[in-house]
Amino acid sequence: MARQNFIGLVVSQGKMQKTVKVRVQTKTYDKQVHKEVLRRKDYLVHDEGSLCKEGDIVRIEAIPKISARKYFAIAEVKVNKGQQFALYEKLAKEKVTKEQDEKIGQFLEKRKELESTITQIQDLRKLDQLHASFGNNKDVDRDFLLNEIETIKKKYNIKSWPSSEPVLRLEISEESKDLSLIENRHAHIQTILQKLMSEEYTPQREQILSQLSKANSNDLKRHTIKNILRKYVLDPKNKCPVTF
Amino acid sequence: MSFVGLRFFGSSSVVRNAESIAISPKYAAKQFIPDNATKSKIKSLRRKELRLRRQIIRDVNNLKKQSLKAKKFEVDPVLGESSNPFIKRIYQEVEEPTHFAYGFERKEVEKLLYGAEKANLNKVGGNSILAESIKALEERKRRALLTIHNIKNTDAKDKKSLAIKHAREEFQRKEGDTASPEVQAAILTVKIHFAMEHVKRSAKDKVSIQHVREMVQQRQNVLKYLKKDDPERYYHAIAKLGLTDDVVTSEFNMDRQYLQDFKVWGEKTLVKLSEKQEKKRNKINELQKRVQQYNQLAKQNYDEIQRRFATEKQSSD
Repeated sequence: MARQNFIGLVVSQGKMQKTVKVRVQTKTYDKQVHKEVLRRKDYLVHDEGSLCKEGDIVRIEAIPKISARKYFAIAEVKVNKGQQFALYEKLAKEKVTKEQDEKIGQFLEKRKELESTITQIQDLRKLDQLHASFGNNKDVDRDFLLNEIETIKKKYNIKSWPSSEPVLRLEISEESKDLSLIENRHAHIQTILQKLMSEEYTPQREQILSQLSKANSNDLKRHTIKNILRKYVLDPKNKCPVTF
Repeated sequence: MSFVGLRFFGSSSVVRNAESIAISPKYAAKQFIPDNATKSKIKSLRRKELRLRRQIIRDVNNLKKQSLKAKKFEVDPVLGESSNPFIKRIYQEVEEPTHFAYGFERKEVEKLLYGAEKANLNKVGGNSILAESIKALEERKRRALLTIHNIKNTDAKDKKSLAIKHAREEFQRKEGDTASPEVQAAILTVKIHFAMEHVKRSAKDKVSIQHVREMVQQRQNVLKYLKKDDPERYYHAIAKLGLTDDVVTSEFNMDRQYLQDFKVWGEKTLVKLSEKQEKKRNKINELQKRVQQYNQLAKQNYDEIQRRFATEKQSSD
């Protein structure tokens, strides 16, 4: 006679040596309510290699009784979800400790950045002062002043002082730059898209599509391609491939 | 009787490491039969030994059962693991002077102030006296701003929103992600930590306790969903937040028992046991003491057996 076979879920592990508890769910017909109901039964199952983890789905097979409550053994692990979880847990801990060092580095970098900005502003103030005294006072050491001014200019790569170009980069001005770029492209979006969809710009179009879409570009519909291109063009990080 | 954990290497003495050998408490039942014992005495001693053995096995197993039943959480189910680096980092970030109040950055503010000063100076032109006064005024403005908007001087709400922002940025899947389960869990964790500080200070504020309780439940729900959806991300999130799997998956309610066990308000009895419960606890304590005694006695008997074995061996040689 074939051996008894069940498929069940490992619900408890590690409490007994070489033994796991497996929950088996079966459907039985209930005569009183005249329908099938679910029945659960927990078996203690022999696990020779102590392989199973909580959450695994396993097939168990009847064996000659080896102790008071043990007459099944693990035949195979069908879904090793529990083992996978244990692996994830281990990997996650390693990843978190690695991330910790990185984050501390970033934290210190931010401090340094602030310090460098403050010194830069101090230097610029000094530059202003030097420049003023160079113009007004006639009796100071002019060579010394010139030397000082030159060193500061060189340090921050400033061509002329007072300069018309922005010396400090403000976050808000960067954003406004992006905004003007988007507005400009948005105004000319029809012409850009028309040009991009023409045969002349096929290589550029193919490149953008391979970047942004997983599907093959030949399978995509015309309007889908247009949408993808529009999204690409309206992103200020990307360079517009068309002149307009 | 067999000697568990003993080994003989040739003629060398008995190798024994007291720490590595776990002596079975069954040794406590051992009865040493004196040489001049009568037959009936020997018989009664043997019976006593058997009876004691059965008793010891029963007691040890009962204690094991009780300890399994009274299984505790691996970490604090509300605050997570103490000295968790992520939480520490968040608190450090809140105190960091690179940040300004109300979401401003000091770096940007310094640049703007410099720009404003330059603009004002340009208005005056080359007049050096006026320029000096403007510089002094701008410096005063700068000092005032640095004091008023210092992160140390801002309110608790602002600090919390800064902490939440950092938590969100650490957990987001991509830029602008505000609602993925791990982000939600991180934000709830930050909120729980900030609210628990208040709970610790004011024990009578029942409303905020209830609020924390709800947030802990919410975090559990979100994390349970994440476990089902993406287990790899789930384990990463809980490792980072200082939680464990059992804290998320098992039933938990932030009740008075929790507040007592984790000493939220110090050593304070919040849950009074009934007479029946008291009796049960005493019983378990007694059982524990008894098992301890068995272990001590077992060790003594084990040494005695060894001593006798050694002398026997010497005399036979």
